[in-house]
Amino acid sequence: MADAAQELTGSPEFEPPRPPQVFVRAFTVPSGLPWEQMRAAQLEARHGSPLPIGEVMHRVRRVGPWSLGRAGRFAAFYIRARDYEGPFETIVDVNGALTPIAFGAPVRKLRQAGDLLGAAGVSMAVAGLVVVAVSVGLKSRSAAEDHLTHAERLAARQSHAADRLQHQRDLTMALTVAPGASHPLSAALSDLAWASAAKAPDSRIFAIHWDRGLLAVETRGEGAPFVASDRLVQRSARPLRPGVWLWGVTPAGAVNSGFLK
Amino acid sequence: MKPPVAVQPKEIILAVSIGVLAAVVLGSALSRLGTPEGFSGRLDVLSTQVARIKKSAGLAQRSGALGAVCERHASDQASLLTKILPAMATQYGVQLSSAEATPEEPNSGGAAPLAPVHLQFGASGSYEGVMGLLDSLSRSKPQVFVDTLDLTSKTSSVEVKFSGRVFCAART
Repeated sequence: MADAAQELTGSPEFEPPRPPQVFVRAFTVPSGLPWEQMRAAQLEARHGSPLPIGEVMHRVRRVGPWSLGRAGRFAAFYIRARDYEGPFETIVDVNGALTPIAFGAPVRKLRQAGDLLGAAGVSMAVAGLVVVAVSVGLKSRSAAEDHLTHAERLAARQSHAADRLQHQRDLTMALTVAPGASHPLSAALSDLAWASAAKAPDSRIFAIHWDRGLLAVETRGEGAPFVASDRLVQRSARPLRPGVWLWGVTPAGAVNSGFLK
Repeated sequence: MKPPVAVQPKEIILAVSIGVLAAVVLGSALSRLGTPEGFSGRLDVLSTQVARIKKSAGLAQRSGALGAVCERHASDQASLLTKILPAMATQYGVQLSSAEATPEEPNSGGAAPLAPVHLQFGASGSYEGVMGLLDSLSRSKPQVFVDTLDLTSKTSSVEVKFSGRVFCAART
């Protein structure tokens, strides 16, 4: 049982405070309007105080219904001012009627106000957190949107450039077929460079013909125009003109590849 | 002194459950809030584009000869050739005797049909000047192809006759 009592109070040190003793004095005031009766009752309570008014705290309550032309019944409640430790509520017997009376702010209301304040504080803190979180979320969304848009623009530009590259690549691939028997000019220049390097010191070359990969030279005299051995040189059966001979030169690499076999 | 309030375990479990649920809902809502519109789809498109760009860049690096084909109209390229050829000849001290660039019929086959521009010119000058002109032509873009090239030695100069082509992308 002791444990049960302790559990109910929650703590062995807990002891509800005892309220101060309340003195009651019932009286009547002459008939009049309700607020006039209340003012008269306030005056009566002060004048009829059992102790000097500076030493007491008092409350005045109407204890009977107001009606026109009838005296008003009131009760004055007094406590010693020094006994007051804080707001409290109690029930007092006034002429056989149990009447609740509160000194200071009602404890229940104070507790409710405290709870309300706490709840409001927590709610505001939570609302603040939510606002901050939403703000951060919106900022994050805006930043992500900016990055994404930038990346999309960059990708669109690069994609366009990639399309052009692909087109150029297709064209370059087509170029391996389209020229037919034509050769890059660099191939002809390579043959001319070979002819210049392989020219025999005493040869008299006065014309070079390059026709779709075939190289021929015209010389004066019957002597071979080139001294190099990496290409075969073959003279025409008869001179083009008196003393002028035409020499055909095999393409580069044809000696080893069996071009003349 | 305010009496302490006895809290039941069920109430704690309920409060924690509500708190966790609220946190999950809030987190989910914030996640959605922080994500741009159509984020996933846009990322997919970007990934596809980036993969295509990478592939194209790799192929372009391997293929090398970009710019070998002109992308302007063949007739425009022909006009350009007849303008730049005299300037190139002057640069190498070579005198042009004739220069002609003629657009030809595009070939119709393949994924990338090409329109040839037939180029013919005759010039004379020093051997070094003629070779410089030909070397400059061989390094120019679009790429110059040759059919016939004749070099004839004169008393104090070399005479060259060139016949070849450049290729442009055919306009459809």
